[in-house]
Amino acid sequence: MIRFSIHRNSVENPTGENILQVGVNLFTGEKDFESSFGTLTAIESDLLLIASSIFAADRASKRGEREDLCRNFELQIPVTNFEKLLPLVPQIEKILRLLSNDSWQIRLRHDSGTAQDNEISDCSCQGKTLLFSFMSHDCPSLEFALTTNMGNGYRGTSSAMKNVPSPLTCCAMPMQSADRLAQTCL
Amino acid sequence: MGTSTNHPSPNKPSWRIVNAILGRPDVPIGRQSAEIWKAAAADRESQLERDLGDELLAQACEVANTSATPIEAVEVFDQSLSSAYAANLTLDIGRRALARAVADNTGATGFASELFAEIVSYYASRDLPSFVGAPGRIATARESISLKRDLKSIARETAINVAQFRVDPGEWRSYVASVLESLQNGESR
Repeated sequence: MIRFSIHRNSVENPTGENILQVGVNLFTGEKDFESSFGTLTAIESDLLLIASSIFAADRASKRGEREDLCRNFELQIPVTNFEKLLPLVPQIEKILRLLSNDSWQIRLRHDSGTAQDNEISDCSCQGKTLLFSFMSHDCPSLEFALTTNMGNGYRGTSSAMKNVPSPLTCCAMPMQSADRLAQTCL
Repeated sequence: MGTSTNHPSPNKPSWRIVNAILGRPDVPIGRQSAEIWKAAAADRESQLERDLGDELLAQACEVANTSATPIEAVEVFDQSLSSAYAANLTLDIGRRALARAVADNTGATGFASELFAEIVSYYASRDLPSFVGAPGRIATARESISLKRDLKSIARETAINVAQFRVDPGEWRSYVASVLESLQNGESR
């Protein structure tokens, strides 16, 4: 089991587990996001933290060889919108398992701050998920794919994606946020 | 899997024996099979037996008996893996074996035989490509495929014939131990 503890603020008594601290060894892309889209909402901040934590844990953990190829992760992530995001954890874990073939245990913990009233998009209603990943901060080999299981969303690869917040990698987010991102970038 | 790298077997005495005889036409297939299983069983402090004896694989036997379609079986199996936060290569191979067993309608026995067949195929595949065309070894990819097919047949036969099969998790572990012992001894029945 590879454990990561994610923190927005400094850690007073770090334990033996891997510590990821925002602004120190974890970059969420919030500043880039804000420069492109304006004020960040609390739920967008939570989603960026979840996405960047997953990405960092994945990149920081080398796969084993032969029979030890699979990894088992446990991530403890602080979120403001705890009640809204908690029901989505099984879906996130399932998607991550599907994508990486590893085991992911996401443990959310309540973080101080003002939760939002807006509902999170329900995938079963909108059926749209944004998946994107790219290789470097300069985006020379940027791959951008917007897929939808309703058949009316974005699809394909764009070479015009130069304004994407660079630290964001391999995450899924609700369609409102995806729309904001896509409208600016495409 | 997120990787395309193929790692050969570790440079340990048991695997060196396997590498010395694997793909040699003058070495009986039964001997090659037995040496693979001996090396695999001894490697990683006998982790293979623990991996194969996992309760999740015992549960997969029940899934193989009760599922109507491979899709249903794999979904149920994946759900059990997710609930247990379990992931390893043996479970991946188990998923594939489960889908084949349900597709062939061979139930728990079919699942167990496919599991051992897929395991030996994995171990053979790690090193066999390095020997194709080498002096004193099999000459073509076709022969390599044929060799793996024979190794899988031995594993299937052994899994079906050697032990009295039970689905109960406790019995599953002893069943796995019996099959592994027989495979290492080169007994198919």
